[in-house]
Amino acid sequence: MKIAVIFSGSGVYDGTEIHEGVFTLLAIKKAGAEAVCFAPNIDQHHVINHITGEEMPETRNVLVEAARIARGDIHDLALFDADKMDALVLPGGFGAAKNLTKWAFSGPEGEINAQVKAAILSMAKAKKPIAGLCMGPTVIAKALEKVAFRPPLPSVAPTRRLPMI
Amino acid sequence: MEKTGATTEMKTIDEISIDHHNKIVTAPCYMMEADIMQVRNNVQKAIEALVGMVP
Repeated sequence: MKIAVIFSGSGVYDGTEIHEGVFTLLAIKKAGAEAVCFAPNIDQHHVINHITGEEMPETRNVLVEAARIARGDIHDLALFDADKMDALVLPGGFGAAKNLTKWAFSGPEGEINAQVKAAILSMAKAKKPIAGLCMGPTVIAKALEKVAFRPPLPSVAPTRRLPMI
Repeated sequence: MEKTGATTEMKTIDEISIDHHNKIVTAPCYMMEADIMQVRNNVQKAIEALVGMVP
């Protein structure tokens, strides 16, 4: 069983939430399945200093950063093929809402990355299961917008310090 | 979230949401105040449910 995981960078405030990313890989392994990691080959929206929450004057690539979580074993999302995957996971972190979509800035109006949308839609159309963690469900909801799906997605008020920009 | 046509459910860190019809599993994880062990367990539940939906 192959389970695709789409990362959005490395670090909660500008990429994938690392704990959620690692626990996803661990849980997939514990289930006896194989994780296949993907990320879009695009620049991050921005880079955040995770101590101060301040933006840093540099550019980082989502795929290159996500490769840190995957220990280098990761594929360009352009190569995603739903026929070869049994399920899909979108871990959280603000990268999901800054790099995969623009939900963090524009809410549900924010555009979604075309490759991310295509990956989610192709899995949904093949009736293959999809999981979203934390911010991940917003990406799924955006991808399935105006499609004949009505996914229930958990919504909880964030109470943590969440630097948005 | 509901502007996209999705429906939402309030869940705790000890729960996940499962849409059997659309085969979509969601979990709050760090969406709320949670410690690392709770998040590990929440992710574990979500992945177990996901794997259970694979024919």
